[in-house]
Amino acid sequence: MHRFLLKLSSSTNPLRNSKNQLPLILPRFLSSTTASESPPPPRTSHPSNRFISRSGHPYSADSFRKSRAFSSKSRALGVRCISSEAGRESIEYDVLIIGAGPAGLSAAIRLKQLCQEKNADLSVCVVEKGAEVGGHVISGNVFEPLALDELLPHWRQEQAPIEVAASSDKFWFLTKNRAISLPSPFDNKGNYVISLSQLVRWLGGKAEELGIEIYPGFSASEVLYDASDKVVGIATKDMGISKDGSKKETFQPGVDIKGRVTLFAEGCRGSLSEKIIKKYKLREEVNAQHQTYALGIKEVWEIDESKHNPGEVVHTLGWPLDPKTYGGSFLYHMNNRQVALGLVVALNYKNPFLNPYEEFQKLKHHPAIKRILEGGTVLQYGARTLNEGGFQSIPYPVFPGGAIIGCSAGFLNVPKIKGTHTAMKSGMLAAEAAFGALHEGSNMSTYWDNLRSSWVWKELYSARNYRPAFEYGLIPGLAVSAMEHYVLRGKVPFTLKHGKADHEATDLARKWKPIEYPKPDGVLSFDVPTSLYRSNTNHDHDQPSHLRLRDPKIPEKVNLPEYAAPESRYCPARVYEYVEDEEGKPKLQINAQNCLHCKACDIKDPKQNIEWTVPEGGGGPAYSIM
Amino acid sequence: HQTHKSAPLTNLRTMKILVAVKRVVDYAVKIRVKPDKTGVDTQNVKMSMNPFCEIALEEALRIKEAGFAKEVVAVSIGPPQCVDTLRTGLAMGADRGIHVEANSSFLPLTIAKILKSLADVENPGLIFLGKQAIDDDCNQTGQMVAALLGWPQATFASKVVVLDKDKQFATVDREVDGGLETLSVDLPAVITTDLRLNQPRYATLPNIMKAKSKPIKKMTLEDLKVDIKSDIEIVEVTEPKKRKSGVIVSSVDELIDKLKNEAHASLWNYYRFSGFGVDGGPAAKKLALKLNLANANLSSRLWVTLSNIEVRQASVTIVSLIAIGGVIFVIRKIFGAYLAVYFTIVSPILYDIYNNGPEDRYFSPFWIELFKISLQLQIFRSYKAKIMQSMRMDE
Repeated sequence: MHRFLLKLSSSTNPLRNSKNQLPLILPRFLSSTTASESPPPPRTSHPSNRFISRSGHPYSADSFRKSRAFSSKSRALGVRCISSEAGRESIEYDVLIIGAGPAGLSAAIRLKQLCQEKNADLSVCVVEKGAEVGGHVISGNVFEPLALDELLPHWRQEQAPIEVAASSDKFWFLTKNRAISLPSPFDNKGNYVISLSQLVRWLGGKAEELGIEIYPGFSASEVLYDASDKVVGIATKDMGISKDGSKKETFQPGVDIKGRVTLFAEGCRGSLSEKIIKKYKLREEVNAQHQTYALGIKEVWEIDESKHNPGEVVHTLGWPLDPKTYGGSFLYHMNNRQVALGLVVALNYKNPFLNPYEEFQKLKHHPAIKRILEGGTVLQYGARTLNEGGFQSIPYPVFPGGAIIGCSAGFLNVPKIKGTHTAMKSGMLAAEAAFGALHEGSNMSTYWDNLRSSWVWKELYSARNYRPAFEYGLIPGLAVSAMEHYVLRGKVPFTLKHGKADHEATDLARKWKPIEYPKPDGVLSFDVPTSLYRSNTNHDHDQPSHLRLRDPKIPEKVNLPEYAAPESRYCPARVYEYVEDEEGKPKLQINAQNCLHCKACDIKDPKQNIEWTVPEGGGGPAYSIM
Repeated sequence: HQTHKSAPLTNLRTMKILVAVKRVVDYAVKIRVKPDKTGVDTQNVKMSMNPFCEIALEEALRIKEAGFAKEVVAVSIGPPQCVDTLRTGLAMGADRGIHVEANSSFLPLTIAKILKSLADVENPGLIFLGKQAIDDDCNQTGQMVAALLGWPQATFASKVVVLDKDKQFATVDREVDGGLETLSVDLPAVITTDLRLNQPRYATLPNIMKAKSKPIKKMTLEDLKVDIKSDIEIVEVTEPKKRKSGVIVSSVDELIDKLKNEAHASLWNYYRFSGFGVDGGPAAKKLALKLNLANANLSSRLWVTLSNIEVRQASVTIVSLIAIGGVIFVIRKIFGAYLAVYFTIVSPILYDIYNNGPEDRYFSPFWIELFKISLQLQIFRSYKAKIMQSMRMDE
């Protein structure tokens, strides 16, 4: 049997209520190898071993040497106040990245490239809540390869799933029955129509080749702090807790993963990132505005060969959304007879009866769209929120112990509707800053400086006034956008501000009338359960709901009477339903198993009562071509 | 037919358990058929370990942790990505893995042959498999492995398998159609696992890290000397026909109206056409059984076989003969009598006297038939007598 050495966590976490730990400074037991009787691990051709560090050892052996010990039981060793549960194991890395998306993987790859260039050796770990890398990634996507060219210049020769060059840019204004062609504000020459999920999976493969340890299926549920309130890592969620909170026979406590630098790349409205931004007041620090969001609902269809035109890029405005609601749709032709079709609805809409999912179903019946979809079948369905705050909402992304990268901070270029390239670049810049901090003794604040002097900043600055102009309505918004695009290009001295926060923008229900949506026809439009089935989403049923209500009475007291229960409409997965209880009164029922991890409820709930937390790792959608 | 017996286990504590795990499309993924109908589309689709294989592996690990086995070996057969599945198995606690490289997917018999070769090499005391894979639902591999090895098998195991250290057998509860069956199997044995056996453990992060250094041996089909030629070829894979949607009626009156006007026509058609249907209808099915039985009896007693009687034609013929015979009997008695003689041959078959004894209810109709036959014969004889008389008179 292995002899495990106990390494007790000397960190305190004032936010961890379940464990009563006093600050303890303990002698650290470092182990040089995991003491075992078995022979040293043979050098197999496992992908993570392919990177041989300068010292000639396979990479994983190096990382094992870095003071990592495993404990399966907490033995008191004469120390008081260890929690009586099985002691949590603690694993340390140099850099810990939360989220294996474009930003997270780019940061990881850039770090390893720097290590190779400068003869350094840093251990990098990426944790991902999806069951597979790319499983929770969903995006339009017309990809601008600017950042990828910098990261992996030879991607064209490495079978990257980037094949379909954008061939045409169409822009339609839709009315109920017609599609009026307008001059396209987009110029996608040089860009590619891709599936971001596939690209991220390919990036994950590249990362593993470089020796980065990626662990899908583990969700980060808490941030770990040390005595000086510095972030030292995260704790993964306990697995095997049943719905009533008791431990099942398969219970496994979560693991503390520590990093000297922790990078949060959770995507839009990341659960831990939001906590960090609040705790360290990162928006106030640079006078940034609140973030604004939109909800994107997307389907990938396989259509008739005759209607398929690879590389065709179509954007629409107008119908089915009314002039006061910002949003539009996209239709991109990928390869293999597949098209990506989606509707993006800004979440600062006023009408509480608006149902973005049903609007999307309506869109598919528009003659111009129907013509393309007829005879096709839906392959996958999904939904996710995205940032629309742009330049005005970027927080100060550095905090003690790490930084926030990608959409968790918010680098999406709204008029271009592209965020992948800026997310990747932000990851790369953070990696450079982290490398400097760990290897050369500089500070993580160089990340902020690098950001401001990079093309990301320039791009977001010149795009900053498009979206806020739509606060004044569709026509003023279009007018300002036209001015900005053709004449001004952001070179005005003022910066327009966002309106109300999304959750505050919802009007009271009595000011609006319910919207009658047509029934799905089962061919072009579908009901939510049918669509949900196509997202391959699933969670273990017997776990506590990951959607927490801060005050369990508010849904019935406020949401239902005053706002007509908007969560039962904006949720694209029908998680929130009001059913009658035994007394005939409506009660909120949370079907957490359906959740698509889009975070719309966390954003749009009028009283911010719904808190989205991570479920057990491995749950959620399984996107593969989104 | 040779049975293969491996060397008896000297010590359970050194026993090896071989667990076969299959990489399949994840159970929550919506699958679709490839446009060329050669199979299910597995490109860009999430794959994971077959849930029943996870249960099998969990059971093997529990047996090892209880001290009854020394080593758990996970084996997977398939493309290079099977290594990921094996790593998951190693992370759950298996000691080492074996990956048998194969570029196409194999049917159960081939897999069973490969597992047999592996068992010859590894000499495990137990082979655990999931009862079936969720992609093909074959439920064959475990049974075939046991047959090829000549080992006892306990399939659909639903209760904790208890091993007896001294006597080297296992007690297994099986889920069968009628309930639960408890078997005692001598080791070495093959056990396939059902859903209720256990709840597989999670692979924890430290275990996943440790699993990276556990060995996975690569083997090829040539190493194992297995002939992969299959006798079965998959011709076509299609989606099941879409069910026509039902109609919800709003009242009883509407239901009756629908039954009368819409369903009535189809009921009529049903009886009109399915009386004989394609294969002769329900009557013919019974006739077929009896014909076969009669055929068998006749051939065994008389050493001749009746040629293959097409059952549908036979039943149509019989009924029409009865009808025609009845009509002609009324019009021209003697001809009708001739025609009805076939009753002597057919009735015994129809009334299945070979199978039924006097207590069966078939017997009274049979006696009625016999009576009818004797009546026919009487009439026939009387007419024959008359003809003879008339012929003599002519002379």
